[in-house]
Amino acid sequence: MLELTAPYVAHQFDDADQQREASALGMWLFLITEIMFFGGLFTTYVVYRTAFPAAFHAASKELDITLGALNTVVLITSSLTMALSVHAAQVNRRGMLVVCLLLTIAFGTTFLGVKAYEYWHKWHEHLVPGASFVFHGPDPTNAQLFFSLYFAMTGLHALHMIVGIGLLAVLTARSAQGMFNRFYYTPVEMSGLYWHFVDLVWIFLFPLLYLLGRH
Amino acid sequence: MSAQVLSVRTCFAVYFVLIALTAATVGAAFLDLLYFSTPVALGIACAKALLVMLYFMELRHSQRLVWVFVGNGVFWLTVMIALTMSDIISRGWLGFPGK
Repeated sequence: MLELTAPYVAHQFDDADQQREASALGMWLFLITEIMFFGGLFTTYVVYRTAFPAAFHAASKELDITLGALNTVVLITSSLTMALSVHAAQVNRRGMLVVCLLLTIAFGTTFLGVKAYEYWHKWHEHLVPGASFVFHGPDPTNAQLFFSLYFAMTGLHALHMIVGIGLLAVLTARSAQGMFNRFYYTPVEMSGLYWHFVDLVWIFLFPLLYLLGRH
Repeated sequence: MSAQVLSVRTCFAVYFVLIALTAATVGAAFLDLLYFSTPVALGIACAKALLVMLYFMELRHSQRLVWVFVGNGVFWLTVMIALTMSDIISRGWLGFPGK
């Protein structure tokens, strides 16, 4: 096995395991900076929701819970296919790897499509903060804060999805060329970590934005 | 520590639990739980996040140094939110002029 792994190991590493662990550690470190990046927005959300609970409660009701829940399921399913991609690489199944990556891209694109429809709908209902903002519930001024945060948080999340889909497209092309096998699949695994992280952010965005004023 | 092969069965099992938890959080959102709505929603979200990290992101089989890194991330996020809120909430407690 050592002879087989050797071509994939860069000269500064002792062996393939050390190389893989270094990549994983670096990727997690990057993801932690991403946690802090989104964390600023989550903190802003907590501050303003504490300050204006009634406005946030009423504004949250304007979001479509069915589409939000649908997108949650779509994103979790894309995480499943991403995990299966890593499995496919680990067991040397190139066909399954390409199919799973394509499915992940498909689910990711579906998510963005639903999100785009939601944005379009909010635009038509005059719920985009600014001069044309119209809100019939209580405290419209502070309801704008909720929608500002809604667009900033889901927008930043969507941007991460677009980057992720780009990464997956490159991975799919490389997988089809047979660049990954059970000895070397670090890029698949690291892109997987990124994709699951994007899923993690949505896991918190969904209850905080969509589920708050339902009862 | 060598890479563990991600099991397909585990992936599907975790997936179905995640879907069930999503259904649970949507259901709970329609119940009037008074002050417990947000803690319940966040509790379920944390459970889902843990499942994704432990199984899909393979934190289970990661080196301990990765655990230390992740713990640090969670710690500083908690510091950011907790210290900010301790300031915001306690600002009105003392009647300093110009607070």
